[in-house]
Amino acid sequence: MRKSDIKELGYILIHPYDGFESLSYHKTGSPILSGIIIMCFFFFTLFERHALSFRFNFYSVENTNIFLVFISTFVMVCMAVIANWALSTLWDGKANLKTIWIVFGYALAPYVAGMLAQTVLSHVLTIDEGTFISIMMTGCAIWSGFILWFGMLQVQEFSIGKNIACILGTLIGMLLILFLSFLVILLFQELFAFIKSIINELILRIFV
Amino acid sequence: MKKAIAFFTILIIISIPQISAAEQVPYIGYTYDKWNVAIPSTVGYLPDAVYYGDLNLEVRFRSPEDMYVSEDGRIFVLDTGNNRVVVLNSDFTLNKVIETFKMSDGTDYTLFSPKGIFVCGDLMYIADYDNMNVIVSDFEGNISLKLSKPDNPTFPQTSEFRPLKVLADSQGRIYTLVLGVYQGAAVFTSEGEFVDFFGSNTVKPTVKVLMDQFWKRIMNREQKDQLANYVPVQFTNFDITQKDFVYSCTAADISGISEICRINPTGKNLWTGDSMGDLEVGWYKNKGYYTAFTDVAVTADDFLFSLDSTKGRIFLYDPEGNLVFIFGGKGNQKGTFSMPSAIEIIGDKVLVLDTSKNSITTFSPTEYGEMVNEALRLYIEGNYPESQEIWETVLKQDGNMYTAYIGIGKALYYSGKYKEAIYYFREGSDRINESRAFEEYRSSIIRAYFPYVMSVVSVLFLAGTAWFTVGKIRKRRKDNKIHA
Repeated sequence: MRKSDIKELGYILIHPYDGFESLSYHKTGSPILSGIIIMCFFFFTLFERHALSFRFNFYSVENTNIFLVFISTFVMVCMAVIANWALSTLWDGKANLKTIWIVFGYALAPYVAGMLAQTVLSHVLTIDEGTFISIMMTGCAIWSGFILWFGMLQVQEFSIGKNIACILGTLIGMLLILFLSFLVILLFQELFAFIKSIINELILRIFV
Repeated sequence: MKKAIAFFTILIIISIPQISAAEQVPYIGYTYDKWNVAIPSTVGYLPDAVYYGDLNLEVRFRSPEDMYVSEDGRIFVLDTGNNRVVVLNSDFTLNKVIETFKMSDGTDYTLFSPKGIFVCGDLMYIADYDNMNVIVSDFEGNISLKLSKPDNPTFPQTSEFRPLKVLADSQGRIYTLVLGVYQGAAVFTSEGEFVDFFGSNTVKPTVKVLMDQFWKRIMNREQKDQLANYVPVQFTNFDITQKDFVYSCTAADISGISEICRINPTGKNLWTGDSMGDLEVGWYKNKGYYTAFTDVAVTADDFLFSLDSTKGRIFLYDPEGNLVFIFGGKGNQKGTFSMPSAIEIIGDKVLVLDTSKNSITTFSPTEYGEMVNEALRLYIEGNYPESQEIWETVLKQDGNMYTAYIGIGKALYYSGKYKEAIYYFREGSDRINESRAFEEYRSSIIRAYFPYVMSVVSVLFLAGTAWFTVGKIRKRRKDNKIHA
């Protein structure tokens, strides 16, 4: 991560189309910076649950499960990246895993910044003025969506129709990964239970 | 050895008063926090006495199903199994027993497993379940009006007219709940003419209902007839206030939610509380023990006691619909029930009728309960400063009382102490009021610091402008020098 990467991120946030074109052409962009943003996505989600002011905080701090938050933020993004990469290799997309990681990370930047701003603003606004916060968050989400859209378009060099299909396919791919990982976890649980019962049996036979 | 004896003697002496001093309550006081999780609370009502049906009666009570307390404090117990009405004075001495009734033409009339009773003025309204009548009589047993199934086409003619509960409003209109009639309470004029239905529940759009709705669009008529027809759940009971507001209760329907409605005379539900009854559902052997309200009783100042037949608990709600106390339970001790069926109020005493134990249990508020009731009364009136003192003593006894925090918060808010009010509203988990207090607090901060901030900003602005201008002038001079 160099200083120029941050500069480039700033340019991409405002000119996503041109920015990603030069990014994919010059092979710039920092996966570390992207990773920091995605980690920030996780940390700020956690932070928000604790630090939102009482008026806007509907989370129960006692019942927050950090592991679940981690899965619903960081792991989700990772899954989206992998699903997208798998799909793009099938559909002759031009991007490699690193570029897709960078696109997803950079695209999250406005939303992550919005989350931080929301946390700060919640301490100075009343419930009636909370509409501003929700408008801001919607704006940030749309901004992030735009960046993701143009980023995908540029780095994969898809047509618009194919890009839509790719994004829908990514969602389906995420579901598939989720399903498969559940299956694997369940199978391994069975396996471990089997091994455990064998060990128990052996211990009982040999030592008792 | 001596030491040991002395030690044990002291130990026993210490422990005896504690055992006798501990108030033996057969139930645990609890309430619900902001996440709808049960948390401990101080007991607000204690059982006073249990009266079994041997109050100088020749025949004891046999599964009494309803009772009503008239305005002069007499208790009318509807002794369903013996088909009679037992009238008790408010101190539980026998007043009279009404066993036979007389029709206006002189013939005798006996009740046949009546289910509901209501008293208004000098008239007694009885829902005579198995005779399929509602009768109106005076206290001597002279029937002045007998309602049977109306031949009005709007009244469902398919089933028999089996009245469950009855009441009358200040105009003398008679409201009855009829078994199987889900359109609401059937309303009759004081002359006995059927008018209309009053207040009905609606079908809750649960997933199952919506799915069936979807299938019904695809299926043909024969298939449709096989599907269950969703109709609103009937009220299980109701009560009326002096202002003719009807409080109705409904046992859990398919969505598992028990409900209470406050219906105004035009038939609109004005209840403000959201979730009623036990919010955590106990499960045992694949059966959920949902709250099922069987009766409600409303005090003159709109406090609502509702009786849950599943767990035998009584929930007290304030006029705004906030939970105040939960007491009672199932069991065989004093203060617990086996099949509670009716609840009534005399003064600040609560009476619960148990059909299976043939008993009436009276509860009265503890010192703490009285304090909370008094503070709530002041609070509802809007007398916040006076209620604040009581709330503070309440909080010393029970830190889980949310309304106490809100009450203190409001008192502080109206006396202008916004910062403290914010603290109390947060403790009481009241977002709306906290936001209001915060708004005032914020503007007071802005008002206090705005002059300083603004003067600093303007000084900085002036200094910046001056610095900039001086720099420009210097530069011009330099340029001039170079050119010169």
